[in-house]
Amino acid sequence: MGAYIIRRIGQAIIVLIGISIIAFLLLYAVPADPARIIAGPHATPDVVNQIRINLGLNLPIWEQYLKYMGNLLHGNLGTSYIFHTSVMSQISSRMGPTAELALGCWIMELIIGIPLGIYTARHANKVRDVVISALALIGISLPVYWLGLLLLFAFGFKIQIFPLGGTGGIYYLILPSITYGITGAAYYMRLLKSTMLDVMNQDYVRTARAKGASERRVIYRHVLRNALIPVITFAGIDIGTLLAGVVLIEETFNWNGMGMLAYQAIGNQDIPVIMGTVLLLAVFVVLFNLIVDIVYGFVDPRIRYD
Amino acid sequence: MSTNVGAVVQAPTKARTGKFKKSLKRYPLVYLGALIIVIMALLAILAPWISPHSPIATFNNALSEQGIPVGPSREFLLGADGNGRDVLSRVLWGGRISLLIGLLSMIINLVVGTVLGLIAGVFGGWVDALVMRITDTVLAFPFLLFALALVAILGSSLWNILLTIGILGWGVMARVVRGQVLQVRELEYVQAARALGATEWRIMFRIVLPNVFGPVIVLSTLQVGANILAAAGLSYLGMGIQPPTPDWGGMIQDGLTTYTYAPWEMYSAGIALVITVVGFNMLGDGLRDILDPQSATRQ
Amino acid sequence: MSLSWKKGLGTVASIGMIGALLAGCGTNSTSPASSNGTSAGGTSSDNSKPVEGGSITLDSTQAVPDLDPAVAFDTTSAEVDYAVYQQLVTYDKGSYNIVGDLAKNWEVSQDGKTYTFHLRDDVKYSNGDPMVASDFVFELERLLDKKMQPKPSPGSQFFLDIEGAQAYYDGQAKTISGVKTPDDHTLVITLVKPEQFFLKILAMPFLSAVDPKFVKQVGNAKLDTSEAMGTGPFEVQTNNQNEVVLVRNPNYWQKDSDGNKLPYLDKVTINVNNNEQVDALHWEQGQTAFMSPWLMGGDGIPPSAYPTIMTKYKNDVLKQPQNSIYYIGLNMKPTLDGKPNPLSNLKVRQAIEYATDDSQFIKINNGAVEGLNQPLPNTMEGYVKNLDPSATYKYDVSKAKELMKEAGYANGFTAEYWNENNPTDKKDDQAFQSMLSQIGIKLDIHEVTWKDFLTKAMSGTAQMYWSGWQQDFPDPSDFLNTLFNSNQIEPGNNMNNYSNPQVDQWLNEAEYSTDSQQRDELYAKVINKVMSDAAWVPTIQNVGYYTIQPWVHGFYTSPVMYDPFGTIWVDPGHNS
Repeated sequence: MGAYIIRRIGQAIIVLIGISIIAFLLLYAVPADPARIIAGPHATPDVVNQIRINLGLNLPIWEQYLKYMGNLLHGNLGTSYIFHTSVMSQISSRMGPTAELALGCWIMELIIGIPLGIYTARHANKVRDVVISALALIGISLPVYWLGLLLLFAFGFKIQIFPLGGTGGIYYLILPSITYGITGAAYYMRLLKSTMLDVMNQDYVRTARAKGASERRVIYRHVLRNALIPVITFAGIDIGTLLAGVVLIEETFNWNGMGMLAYQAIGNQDIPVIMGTVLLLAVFVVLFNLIVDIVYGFVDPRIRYD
Repeated sequence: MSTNVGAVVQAPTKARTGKFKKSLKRYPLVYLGALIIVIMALLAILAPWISPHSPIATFNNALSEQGIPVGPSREFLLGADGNGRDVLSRVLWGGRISLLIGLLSMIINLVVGTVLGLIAGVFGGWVDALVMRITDTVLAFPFLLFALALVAILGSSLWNILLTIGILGWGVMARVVRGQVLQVRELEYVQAARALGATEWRIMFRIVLPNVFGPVIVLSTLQVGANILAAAGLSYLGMGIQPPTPDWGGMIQDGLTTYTYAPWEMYSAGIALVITVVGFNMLGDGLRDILDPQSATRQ
Repeated sequence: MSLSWKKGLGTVASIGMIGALLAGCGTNSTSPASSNGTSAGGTSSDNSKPVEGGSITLDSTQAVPDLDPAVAFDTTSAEVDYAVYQQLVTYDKGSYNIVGDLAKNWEVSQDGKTYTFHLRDDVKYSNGDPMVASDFVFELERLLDKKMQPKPSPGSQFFLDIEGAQAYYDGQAKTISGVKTPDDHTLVITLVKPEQFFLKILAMPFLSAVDPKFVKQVGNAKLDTSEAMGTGPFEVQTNNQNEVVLVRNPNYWQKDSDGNKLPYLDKVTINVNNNEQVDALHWEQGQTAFMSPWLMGGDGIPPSAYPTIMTKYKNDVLKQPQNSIYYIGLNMKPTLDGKPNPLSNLKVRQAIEYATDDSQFIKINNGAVEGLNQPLPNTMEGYVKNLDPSATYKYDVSKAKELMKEAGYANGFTAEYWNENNPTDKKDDQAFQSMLSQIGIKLDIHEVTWKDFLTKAMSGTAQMYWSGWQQDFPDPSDFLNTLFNSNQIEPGNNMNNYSNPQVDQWLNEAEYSTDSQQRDELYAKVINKVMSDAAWVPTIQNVGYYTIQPWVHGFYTSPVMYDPFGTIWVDPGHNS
């Protein structure tokens, strides 16, 4: 087990280095020179040059990369081209809201997905199952931002139940979470349904039934308990990708999180901020995958990733 | 969005192409999905002949004096947009771009993913480790954000968009193919073939590849839908193809500026987008039910 | 409308080319008051007594890029800096007239080169430190320090006509010889050449009073991001990516006409909310006190909300034509990227002028903008009311086609067109594209990020481009000299490579002339020449819109200055 964990961590580190190299090459090898723009139209060439030096843009790209990675090891992600504040401080002020939003979306996926999964498994192949499955299919196919705009317009503007976007507490969280929940719950629903149907055919469930246990008891004591394991695994991986996947939601609902920060940085071509957010979000994905794998390795030594 | 695609096809699948025809009748999803796709594709292909107006022509009578687009009317069936153009014609033409990006970027996903997945699965060892680390790396990127940054830097053209989506989106495909290869290689008759002296290459092409087809077809179909959504997402965030060519995501973004008083552009483009993606998801689901009875709904 | 600083992907305003700042030409021109009444808000109770206290909440589409007035050069930063910092002189309420601010009064020498400012002696920074004349010397030295971290001032060039400034800037002198402080409340500035618009330069935020002790203590980096210490009505409590919180400066010196201490408000909270539609809805729901162009990326009312607000809340809206204009630049270089450039042919450029239907631009912008026929806004000194016939183009497609034929392009050609990528510009681009298609010119539109747009356009290689210019200070030289002088090709402001020795000569002559009438005449010649050369297609002039809740009082608009936080008050019970 120890060797497995070490191997997985080693792989994760290799992946992270790979990400940093690819992202750096693609983002920093940009042809346009930010110094000229930052300096403004009345700036003298001296000023432009000084800005270029301040930003370290006069160095060759590999040297810039090594310098960047050196700083990164000290927790320094560089300084924003536009706002002159440290990228770390910008990101850390946005991390909380993004975590909050991701959590809200995730919980909403579970709240919608799990009961529907149980329901459709219990009523498999009846009309209700077909209808719910069809709706789930549509849910998966909806562009989140489009659905978000419709909901925002209906429940924020026409009927003023929820705020019109903005970052805040639970009240602000409901509409974006529902939006994401609708588009994401179907994955949980289907997964739970199919694993439940699997479990229902297992011998011990049949035995329980034969012994006269009530259907309710069979479903909740025996079937669900076992069927939830893959769902939990998926949920673990999902929260990593969710952190990165909420850009569209953040943009639509005006949520001041990391996605919004990165989006604005892309508009401003504020490369250090883009680089920082991309890197950090990738770290989360790798981290959650790692945790899930390791936990899984403990739970079920047979199923080891790789 | 596209990162979730893997979840739907994660169960190991076995192709049973022989039963394909017989099963088709039992799975209406496939028919319905294919039908939707065919209709949307036809509308897109025939756009130059069936759309009532040119998608880029501006009409003076389509805007009020205050510049407010007219609503659905006999002349403009789905209303006009903020530039005074016919929304219906733009929706029809917009389908071309969306379908084109969806299909072409899927092909890139497919080629890169399948080749790398096969290589990793067949060769194993350090080749496998290397390919899988690259795959992990690609999968770990925040897909939409990074695609957005890339398109912003490269410039948003049709080619750059589909290339970006294609190059960033093959990870799941590679993983699924590799998993399939590993599984097939362990099957008894493959072991037997190997024992009888068949070369690895022969095994790969004769036995492994056909067995990989099932999940790959399913995944590719779903990927088209996901890629259409991703491209529309980029467009919505301002990194779409260059005007005046219409595309659905861009129309939703355009429609946003007139949303509160002329919502038809946003509704029309969004609904067209949803119908198309539903078509691909239905087909993909249906195919999976056929090709992979294990995960299909029990009888 | 669509300035590049408008928004799009959260564009950082301007950086000059379009969004820079301030100041106003001390002369007449259209009084802003004529356009719609400048003061606003609850008109019914405007005569009642101002109420002390209370707070307001506002939305801004973007965070403050630079808090330090020495390096700030965009509209969002200026909005906050003007509430916190003050300058020697400023503009009178709602007009172009220069009046004293921290300077009580001043004298100008006969030769127009020496300015003697007598400073107020009752001014303190918000930490209680007294403001003295040498503080301005300190600030000027910061402006001229090209090694300043984290970023040198983008406005240093405005001050290089001060005696000894160039030497200090080049590191050849330890002090600036043209600036003297005979005592704590007298500041003497000597220029190399007389400069008509020098006071307007002083009214920009660059040369603000800053507390040297405080700056040395916190350092330049913090001064630019989180700490501020000025003499203005408010002090900065918080400034970050999500919000700016301003609170009353307890030591503020100015009083209203009744002798009440200003400002009235205790607190101003500006939330950064990138989505302007949501911002508009916040205002409609009464959550924010007002929307202004400075907070809303140029529009004031976002285009998406404009028709609704103008119907439902017409009485709450103030209009202020702005000194900012938009145009389509036509590159005049004979070859671009090694290919012959058809636009170098005068007839082709004229054909484009005739094919452009200005009214279309106005319409797709919901009538929220004004038309434009020359490279100066109609609210600016030097604006030419009656252009020469040769400099006037009426929309006439058949004439345009004829000119194309004469130029040898009867079958048209394909041209590259560049603009920043944002939703409102997109509309304008497509409208222009369809106008030119009528005369056979096919436009390849490139909508790119703001940075890429500027890089392309400033390199002088964009064949056609949509761009804009907003005054740095209200003087025609800031438009005409910056955008048409051939010596501005190299720094990248003259982006279409316009080069005419005659025009250069007129511009250089006007730059340092002290005779207002002669300057106006020279500038009129420049405008007529440039327009008959069809160097640009002027498209629209921006109009700023302000929506003010009826419970907000003491608000007024200005053609130069930003929102008057110092005089705003709210009805009791409207604290947010």
